[in-house]
Parts: sequence; C-alpha cells; structure tokens
Amino acid sequence: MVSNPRPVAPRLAGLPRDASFGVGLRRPHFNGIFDSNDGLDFLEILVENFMMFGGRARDVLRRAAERFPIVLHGVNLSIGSIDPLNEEYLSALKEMIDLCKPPWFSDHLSYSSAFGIEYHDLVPLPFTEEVVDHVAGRVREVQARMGIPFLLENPSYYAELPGAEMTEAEFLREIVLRSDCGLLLDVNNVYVNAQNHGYDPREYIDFMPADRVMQYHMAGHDDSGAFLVDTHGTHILPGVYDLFEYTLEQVGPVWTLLEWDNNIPSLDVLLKENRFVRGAAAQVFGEDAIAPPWEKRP
Amino acid sequence: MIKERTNPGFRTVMETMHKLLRAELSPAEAAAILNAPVERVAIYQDFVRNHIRNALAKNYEVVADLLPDQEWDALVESYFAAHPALDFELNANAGRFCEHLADVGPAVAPSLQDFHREVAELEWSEWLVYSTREEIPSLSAVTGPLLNPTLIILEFNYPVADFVAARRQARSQGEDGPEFPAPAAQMVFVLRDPDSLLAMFLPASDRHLFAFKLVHDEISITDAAELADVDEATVRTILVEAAADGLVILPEDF
Repeated sequence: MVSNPRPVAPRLAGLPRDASFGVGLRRPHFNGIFDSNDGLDFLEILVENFMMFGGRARDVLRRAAERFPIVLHGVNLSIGSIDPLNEEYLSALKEMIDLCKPPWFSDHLSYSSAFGIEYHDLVPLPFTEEVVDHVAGRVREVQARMGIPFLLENPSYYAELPGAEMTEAEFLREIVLRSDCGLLLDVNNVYVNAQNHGYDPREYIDFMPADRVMQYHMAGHDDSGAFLVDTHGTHILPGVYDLFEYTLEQVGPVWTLLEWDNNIPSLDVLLKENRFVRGAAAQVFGEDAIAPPWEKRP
Repeated sequence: MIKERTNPGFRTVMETMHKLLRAELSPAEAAAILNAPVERVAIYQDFVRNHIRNALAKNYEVVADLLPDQEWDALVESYFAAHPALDFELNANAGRFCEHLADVGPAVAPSLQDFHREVAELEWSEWLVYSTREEIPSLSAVTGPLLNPTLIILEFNYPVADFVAARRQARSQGEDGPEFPAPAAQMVFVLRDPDSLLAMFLPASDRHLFAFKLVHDEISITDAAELADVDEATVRTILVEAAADGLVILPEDF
C-alpha cells in the first residue's frame, strides 16, 4: 500500500494517507458485504442512513465498525446555512463518531436546510467573502465540537448564484484554509462542474491545497442533454478516470471512495468498479505499488 | 433596484432558493431573481420534491399501488405543500401522511377510503418498528417473560394485515392481489423480529392476546392457568408460541 510522501497540514498529520480504496455501505449489501469484500480497505458510512436507526441498521453498523476501518460522510450538516447548527444532528453525529471511531468525518460545502425546513439536497452557496467568513466559522465550531478532523467536500452545482466575488476553486480553498480543515476532493464533481460551468478541471485540481486533501470521491454521472448531472447512479465515465489519474499524479494517494447511491448495483458490479479504481491508481503508481485486486478499465 | 436584482445578498439568495424549493416560486421566477438559466434552477425544485415523493412511495408502497397514479400524485403534491420537511432524517418526514389522508380525504383523491388510511397506518408502523432505537434484550439478560419492546398494537376496522400480506405476495409473483376486503375488526401486532431484526406484523390471535395479557399484566403462569381454566403446560406452550412469533421474549431457561 503506497503512502503519500507529500507534506500534510499540521492538523491532519498522523492520519492515514495512502492508497486505500472503499465503497459506501448500502442497505442492499447489508448481508453480502461481510462475505464478499475483496479489494475493500475501508467503508464509508453515510451518517444519515444510520444515525437515527436502531435494529438491523445499527446492528450492521456495529459489525462493520468491528470488521472495517470506517469514515463518516454526511449530507445534512448544512454547514452553509444561515440557521443555527442543528443540535440534534450534531449529537447524533457525535454518537456515530464515538461508535465508529473514524479518522475524520466529512460533508459538503453547501447547505441542505434553511428557515427551519430540510431540503435533503445540496444547495449551492454564493462565492462571496461574506459566505467564506460565515462557513469558515461554522466549520471551526463543528470540528472543535466533534473532536476529530473535518473534511469539506466540493459539491456539484448547476446554477452559479449571483454576486460571486471569486471562483468556485478560490471559494473552496479559502474556506478550507481559513477554517483549518481537510479537503475531500470529489473528482467526479470537479469534472461535472468543469463541464457545466466551463473551466479547466486540471487547473482546479492544481489550485487545491494538496496538503489538505485526505480523501477522494469517485462516482458516475449522467448527461441531461443540457448539462451533466451528478447522479451517483452509474459507472464512472472515462473522462473522470482520466482526471482521477491526473489528480493522483498531482496530489498523491489518499483514501478513495467509490460512490454509487442510486440504481445501486449488485455487490459484484460494485466490487468490479472498485477494481477499476484501484487499477487507475496502479496505472499511476505502478503495478507493484497497489495491492491486488485491480483491473485495467476497458 | 437593478443592483438588487443582479447582485442580491446572501440572505436574499437563500430566501429565493427557499421559495423555489418549497414551490412557492416557479423556476422562471427564481431564475429571474438569481440571474441563472431556468433549467438549472428548476433541477433543484425537482430534487427536493422528488426526495419527499420517493420517501412517500417507499414507505406507503401498498397505498400508492392501490390508488390511481393521478390520485397518488395529487396526494403527494398536497402533502408536500401542507407538510414542509422538518426532520433531517428523510423518512421521518413521511410520518404525517396518515394524518394527511384523513385531512384531505376524497377531495384530493376521490378513490380514497377509510381502508386506504388503515393500510397507510400499518405501513408506517412497519417503518417505526424497523427504525426504532428500542433494543431487544439478549435472552441471557432476560429473567422473566417480556413483551417485545418494539411492539406497536393497531386496531383496524378492516382485515388490513391479511390483505397487505396477500397483496405483497401476489405482487411479488406478478399478480393483481386480493379484492378490497369487507369491514371486519382486526387487531394487529407490529414488531421487530428478534432474529432478523426486520419489521413484521401479526394478526392478533386469541392465543397471542392471552400471551400478551399474561406478560403485560405480569400474571404468573399458575394464576393464568387457573384464571383460564387450563393446565400450566398449556400456558407455557402458548408463551413459547408467542416467543416464536416474536411477540414475547423468554429467558433462555424457560
């Protein structure tokens, strides 16, 4: 397992930073994942799928935490909202952290609730100095209260909101540096956003603070005809694999998570896609550097 | 005024997005304020509405299947408008649908009957039982008969449990399923199976009710046998049967 030799920000020093690969734990795979997991070095838990649940979901979560290294990922922290942080959510998140003992937790640079109403989706923020200040303060608070590092993820977005004072890349970079958190770099989102908003995805990758990147997301997307939609419902497309290989060359290996949240396939299909992701890393770092199983994508 | 339209502040942007996501503004109206393409604004309204639509379809699968598509769509739309999502756990926001069916009734869905509302209540209870944080104690920790702590008891005017079970089986085999049943009172136990941890339901039989009362009222086996005028072995058999059905939890050495 090849480690990342590049410098890392002091807050993130000592955390795992190597070529590990994983998938999200989804309900259709609750039975199979404990028997068929070749090539899975870790699991990512979507916290909203478990945090309020007892019974089977909680039982599977406990077993997963005993069997696999776990990272936690969320969609409803609503870090960009103007509403106060949701105390019930934070309490449930802390309980998940205590149970799973992940090296970090993550959520998106967006908001998912406002004016007391939950949207259950990632709503974009205006790229302004006012919002940088607002979000950076909330990230610092959440990170301090949870007691482990927080990674901010670059979300996909379809409409650029008015009043932008900086680019998307500048917005993300500024918040990450000002809040002293880590970065979850979603390579598919970079690709989708670059296509939808007309920028060079490689310049975006180059501009990211590499010493903050602790995890990658890889996923599939669909073409609506008018623009690309980040669906997480299909295979990873070749352009995203190409960008992933470029990212590995520039940033180095970190934990890489294959997301597949809609039209969830059989575990066999998921594991095969994971082997392609591992294969992309083998392409960059050499076949001896990446533990099998891996495959070269067709 | 022109500046406000082209460069609204953070709060104004959020208010506009909120009205869009709550369908209080059309995508065209929101797009004009946000100076963004209509189709790229509309997608957010669709996302948010579809999350609730999918949560309702998932948690009330039988009700949705029983109603004409147009009426189901009308119920979903009226629910979305009347009950904004307050809970970050998506499924929890489907919890007021039974109440909504009672509120709107045939005015929104002309085919809607009391029977549909009872089916909805059973389906939602299955979700509550599946998701509850109540833990079923391990047998080694149990010192006497206990009721399953996840138990929900429902009383219906129709044989809803029989209908839903038959309907699901028929649909899984690609068949239409049973006709609507005639009214007939039915008590139903909804509970988490202690082994699989999945939600299940049982039409309450006389033997289930006997076991339930014995355990709930902490009646001894000897007293129960005397009250029911049966021997103690029969009482123990009834309890063992109720344990096999998940209704009660018995100690390992029972």
